[in-house]
Amino acid sequence: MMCLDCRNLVPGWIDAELGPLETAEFAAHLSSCRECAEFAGRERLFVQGLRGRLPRPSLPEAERRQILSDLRTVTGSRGNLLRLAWGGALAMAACIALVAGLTVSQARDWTRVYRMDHAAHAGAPDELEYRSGSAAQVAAWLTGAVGTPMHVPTMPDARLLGARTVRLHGRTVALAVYESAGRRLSLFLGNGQELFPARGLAPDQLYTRPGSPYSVVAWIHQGHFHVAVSDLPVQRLQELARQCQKPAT
Amino acid sequence: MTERFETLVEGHLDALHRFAVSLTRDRDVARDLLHDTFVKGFEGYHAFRPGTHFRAWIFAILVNTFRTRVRDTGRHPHVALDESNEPASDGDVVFELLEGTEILDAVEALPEPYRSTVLLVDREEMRYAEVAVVMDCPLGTVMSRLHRGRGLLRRRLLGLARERGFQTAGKRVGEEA
Repeated sequence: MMCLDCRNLVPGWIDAELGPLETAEFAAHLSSCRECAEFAGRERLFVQGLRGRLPRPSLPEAERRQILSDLRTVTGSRGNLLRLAWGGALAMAACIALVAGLTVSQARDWTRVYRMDHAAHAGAPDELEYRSGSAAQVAAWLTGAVGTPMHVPTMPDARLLGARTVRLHGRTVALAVYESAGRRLSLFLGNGQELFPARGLAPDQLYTRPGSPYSVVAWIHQGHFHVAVSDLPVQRLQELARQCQKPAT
Repeated sequence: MTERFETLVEGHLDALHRFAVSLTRDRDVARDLLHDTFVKGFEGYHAFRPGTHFRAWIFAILVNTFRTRVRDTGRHPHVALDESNEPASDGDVVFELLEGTEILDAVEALPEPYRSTVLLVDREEMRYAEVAVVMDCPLGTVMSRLHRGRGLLRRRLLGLARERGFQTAGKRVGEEA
């Protein structure tokens, strides 16, 4: 074994990753090469020092709760989050911090709740509370569910599957579900400004947030916000949004 | 399946978060990255084979998601490679002179892929086979990246220590090369 080969194996030797044959050849070289032996020894001390001093910061508790909340929303078991409310004053304080953190976070990216809801429900058994391909019937059901008149748009290139409601920031929001090219499209509908804080948009002007895997296209039409979420290509999502804005024929 | 996925992720949450922050260098962006990782992980969990290493699997999703984001945004975090030929030595001693945060800053300032490799092996204590899965590279590449990354790190830490008045003494291995 040459010195260069030996030194390339030093990390594997330090981390006990060499096979028996390599280890034997490595050891044989070290026994006959003082400089490589010194080099390997120093490297091992360096790595031991590095591992001993490299900080491994743990997640702050409030941030951990936020991230776990994200995780549980994704997996659809958000009910677990309620358990946080039952832990005495400390847990209550943590929950307050969580809510505050979420509010700040959502101000930074208000589309997150929509993307997360879509991720948790698209294609899942609880995706639809009401099944119908008729926009009029779905609109009637949603109107009853949220208590305000709802209009459900139609798109020539997307098939309406049905609807459900979702609680966002303490409000009940209507949600129509479509399918286009085999992909789900969730269209959130409502009129709460705090649920659609994309200020300065002209009516029917599209707000676009490309994402992976889910993109968001949003707009205000006739005083109602529309937030479309899908893993369709973002250009396709914009085309469907334009179809939504056309008057029904 | 849901609870199992959550439990597995929770077991690696600190490490996932640490690594996401190291990749993005921004806690808010790191949280977004984690969210997208959870989405992709949960969507693909049905394909996860029990008995294979979940940590490597979920870290690989994290790295792939990060790479996609970087590609989509056109931003390529780049740190110039320190090509100094100065022999690096006394690395074990310099740790006595430096704070943990300075050491971490030096690691996080390493260029990719050395930074990720050093962090995964020396901070997260991953085996090379896991790192190979996460970084999608051969095992030998993990070792060479580690060798190079640790060498770069040693030089940087030595430079920091010298700013504190640390001086090397005696002939070091490699000086003759």
